Amino acid sequence: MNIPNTTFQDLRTRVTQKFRGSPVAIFSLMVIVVYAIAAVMVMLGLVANDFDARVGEKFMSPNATSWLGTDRLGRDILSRIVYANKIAFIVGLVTATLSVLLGTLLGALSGFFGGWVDAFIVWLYSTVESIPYLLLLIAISYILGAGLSGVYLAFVLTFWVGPCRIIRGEVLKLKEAEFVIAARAMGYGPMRILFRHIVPNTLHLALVNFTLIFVAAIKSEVILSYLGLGVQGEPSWGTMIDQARAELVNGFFWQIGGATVAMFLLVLAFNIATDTLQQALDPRQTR
Amino acid sequence: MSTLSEVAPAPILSIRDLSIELRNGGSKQLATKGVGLDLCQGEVLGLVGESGCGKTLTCKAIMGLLPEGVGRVQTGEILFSGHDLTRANEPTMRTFRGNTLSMIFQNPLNALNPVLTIGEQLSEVLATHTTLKRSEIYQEALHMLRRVGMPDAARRMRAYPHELSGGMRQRVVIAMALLMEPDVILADEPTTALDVTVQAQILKLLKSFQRNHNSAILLVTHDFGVIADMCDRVAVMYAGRIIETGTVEAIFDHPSHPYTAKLLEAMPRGRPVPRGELSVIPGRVPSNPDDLSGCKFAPRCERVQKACHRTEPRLKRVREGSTRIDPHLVSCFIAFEDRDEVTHVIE
Amino acid sequence: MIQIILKRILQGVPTVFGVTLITFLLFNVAGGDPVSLYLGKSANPKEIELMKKEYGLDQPLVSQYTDFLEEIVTFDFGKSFRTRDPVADMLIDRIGPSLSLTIPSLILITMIGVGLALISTYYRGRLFDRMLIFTAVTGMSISFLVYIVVGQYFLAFEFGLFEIYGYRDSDESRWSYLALPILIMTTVGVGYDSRYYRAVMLEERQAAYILTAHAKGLSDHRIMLRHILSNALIPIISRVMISVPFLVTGSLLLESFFGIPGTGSLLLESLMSGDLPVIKAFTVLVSILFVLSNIITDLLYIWADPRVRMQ
Repeated sequence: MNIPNTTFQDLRTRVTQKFRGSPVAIFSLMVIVVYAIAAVMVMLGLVANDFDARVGEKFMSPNATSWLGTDRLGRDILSRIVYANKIAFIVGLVTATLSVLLGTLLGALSGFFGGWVDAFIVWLYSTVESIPYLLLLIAISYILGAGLSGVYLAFVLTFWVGPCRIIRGEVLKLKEAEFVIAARAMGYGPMRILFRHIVPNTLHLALVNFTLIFVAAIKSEVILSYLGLGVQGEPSWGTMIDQARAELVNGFFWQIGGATVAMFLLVLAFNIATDTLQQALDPRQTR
Repeated sequence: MSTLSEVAPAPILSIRDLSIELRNGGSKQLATKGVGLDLCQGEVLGLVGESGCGKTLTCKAIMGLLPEGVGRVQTGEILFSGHDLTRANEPTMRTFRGNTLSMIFQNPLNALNPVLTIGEQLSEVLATHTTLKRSEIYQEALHMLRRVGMPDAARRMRAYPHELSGGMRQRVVIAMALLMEPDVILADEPTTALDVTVQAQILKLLKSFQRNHNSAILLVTHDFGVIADMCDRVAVMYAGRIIETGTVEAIFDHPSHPYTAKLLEAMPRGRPVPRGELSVIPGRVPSNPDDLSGCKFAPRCERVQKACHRTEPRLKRVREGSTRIDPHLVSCFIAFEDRDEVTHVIE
Repeated sequence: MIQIILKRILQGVPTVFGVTLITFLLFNVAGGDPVSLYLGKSANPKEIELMKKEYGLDQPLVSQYTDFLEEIVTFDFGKSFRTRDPVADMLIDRIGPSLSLTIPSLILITMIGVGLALISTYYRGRLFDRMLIFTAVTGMSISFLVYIVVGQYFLAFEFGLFEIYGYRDSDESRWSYLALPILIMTTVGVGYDSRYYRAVMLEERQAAYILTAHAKGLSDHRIMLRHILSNALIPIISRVMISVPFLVTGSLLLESFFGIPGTGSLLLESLMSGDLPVIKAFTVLVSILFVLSNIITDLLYIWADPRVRMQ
């Protein structure tokens, strides 16, 4: 079976074209870059390292020193939001990277070798899929105790399924491609063929999954934080929204507003970027 | 070549009674039956026939690359380098593939990995089969790329397949197949996907290589023109069976099987055919040749007799023009035995 | 046909088995023993022992697991750690409110989602289509939590349009408590589903037979409804079927926030306190339902595709 090989370089050009042609998409990329830079700056300690300091009275409205006001302990909301961005980014990056790595590895092995390996991995992801994802997340986090490492583990164990399915499907297709048969004709061993020839041709799909999981991780962190299972000790958008709930009754909406908008912009940017990517990669015009 | 000595050299690749089974959904079919071929060192053997007659499958069977679960060798043996390839295990096959036994694929675009550069794909062959250092590998690869006539080779090493033209890609594929100086090269329609002008260059390239290294080539094609240019001997295949073999001269001068004769007649020769239109062979290749008793070509044969429908003819010697070393064999009950019967088709 | 059903059921068994295994490993093994987990660090060791005995958790792991399997087969999930009530009863009590929340939501989401998708496909590329996508993508980018918090605060508290909290089981008043949660669930769900249905329909639109239909001179309306929709029905139905098992778990968040005594809030409370018997019962039930719904979906595909049926 011949998979037209022009499509891969086609894909690269299509993706760049699609992005260039859409101002919204370019704007989204810019937003992501800005957020990423902000996160790096926080990590380097250049900004927002005073997120815990009391800078004024509690529940102040935006003013000259605190652009978004202060929270119930008098801490600057904007600093905390910027700091929380770093947490979100790290959570998103680590989760997405590990999930895609694990999923791709298992999917590739499963699709290529078939047999027992395939049966086992398919069974594994079917099982994980049939457990409501929130239940799984909460259960794992609960058992591992609150805190960041629990969050990562819970996320990765839940999210690896998506990439695994997709990569497995693609590897199954590519296994029959002529360049793979040609590679076998050269006497290359299965590992080399799988990881040097087949998998690199699936990376565009892995990328899409990466962005999807990044978003899912950020949104799930919010929910876990509400339940007290997420990040501890440091401000995250989830903990801020959780705290803000009570404040809303008193009419104070700056914390929840700020955190929601900050998160919303990042998630929206990622969603648009993912969409554009998918549109570019999908040869049909179904979007 | 071999006509000069009395004793035929032992073939370097020998296929005996090869029957390949194809599974299609629930039903099984024999895609080839009883195929026998001998390939000697330094010779070019052409394997010619219509599409679908089993030529490519035979090549894949030799390489051990029949599609898993779909095709398998039912009976027969393929002898190479002291092994029966039909029974060899994967690790053994991998020592041969790309090394002493290599294959050139029909469509060069599809045979190359789109995400790796030419240089990387060439180097990989050497990295797998030799213990050379990286710098040595690079030099070898570059050298080979130049030898196959790639212009501006050094720059092209960093190029991706889609950046090259069809002819250049096929040169790369050939380069990859020849890097380890294999004893046997299976060339599956190496020029079919190329422009006519490029075809000639590629064939010349292959021929010079073959001569320099005294390798053996099994050249699969449906084009008799290519056979005439390149081959020493020819085997004609129909419906998965070898129906005629012999030297190129013997086959062209007096094709004995009616099918072979028709094929030669049907070959367009680039100038107006003096006698009427291009001849066409009526009918089609049988889809289930095993269901047919007797000769598989009988339904389409002009010279068919009753005996043809009863039993399948076996390969036997043509009476005239056949030497002991290079036998001219044909499987037909009423083969053109008399030279004068055949209209001369080669000028 | 029966053969296929049986085959599928057989294939589903390893999945359910896998779920029980994972649940078991998670709760009985990974965190230490479930009783300690439940009672916490400050518990009295004697208390722990006692409770373990009561629940058969002092047995070796293997027999614990076989006991678990037995429970599943007999549908007797024992008693909750917290309330000491039989788990089965608790589930039955609380399923009513949850279904009252999830079923109307699912129906609304599907109807509205498919409707919007149809209109969007018809007006592809035009204002309506673009607005729909824009709204959907934006809506998807807001955390579910925010919908709840904002909805509760503004629509219920500030503007008094809905009940803020609580639930009453009678037939009339339950809806006033469920209205806002249903609204929230529907809004979020429509955002996701309408885009999916739209993609499905657009794909149908590309198909060759649509061109034939146009060539036959059929009107656009007819094409939309008769051809595109009917072919899109299969993916639509399978998506709905996938959601069915999860109807049973209710909505963990909505029920907690709005004080609805459904299975969702029960599950959440049990998860947060480590009430193992309840959690086990839930996961097993959901996975069985999941496997069943997959089987039914498969059968639907087989039945709906005449090419397969005629074999």
